Amino acid sequence: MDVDYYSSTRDALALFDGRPASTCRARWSISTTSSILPQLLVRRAPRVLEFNEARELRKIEQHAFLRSYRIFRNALDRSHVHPARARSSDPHDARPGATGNDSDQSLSRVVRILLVTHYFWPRVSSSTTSSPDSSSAARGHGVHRASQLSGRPVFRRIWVLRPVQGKLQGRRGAPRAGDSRGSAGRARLALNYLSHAFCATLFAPFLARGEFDAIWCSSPRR
Amino acid sequence: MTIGIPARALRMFKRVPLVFWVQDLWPESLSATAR
Repeated sequence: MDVDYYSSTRDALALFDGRPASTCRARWSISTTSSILPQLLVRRAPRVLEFNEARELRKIEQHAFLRSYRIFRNALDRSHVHPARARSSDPHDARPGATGNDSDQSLSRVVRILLVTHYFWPRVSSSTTSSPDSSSAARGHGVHRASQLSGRPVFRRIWVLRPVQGKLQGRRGAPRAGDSRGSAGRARLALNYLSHAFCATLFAPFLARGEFDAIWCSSPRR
Repeated sequence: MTIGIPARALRMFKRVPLVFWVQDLWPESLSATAR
């Protein structure tokens, strides 16, 4: 899924109070077509380094299957995720044990939410704050704790290094920076979604272990 | 929309309520592709 994952995930997480980076505790991602159909989707190579330097929020990685598998296991991507608590509308709710009352502790029960989206959570320490309307969803519960199961963005798996890149420059349809979607047509995009559904159905029970109180499945506008 | 399939599977495993928030309904796309 290489759709506009950043804003979509941010919108999905904005329902919970507080900053998205502070809400999302852990995430699991599923590499879909990059592992199943490795060569079919490789057509053009984006200029990844230029893309990465130009953008602060989005980074392109090479997704070999073993690499992403290792990311699953070692959770290297989770370093930016802070085990913080979302703010409540009442600041006393967000601090269990601050006063020690029983009523405060009942208010500050942790609601564990598993967030299921297509969209990839980027490695940002986002400074975006949620709108005041979105905080109403978090009212009534003290603390939310969200974990996300998302798709990994499928970028072109092989990017071309120096000699071949020179050849690609002069060609028509040479890769531009920011052109990460590649030449995948509509049928492939549909295949992409279907394979994500297939793989996520297979692997999600193994990836998203643990106890949850609710599952939040968000299919936002692109 | 297809994200609902793994979410259904997860609901079956976890036995917790599932909230499915669908925003990407585009009826216009049918008429747009029919042209």
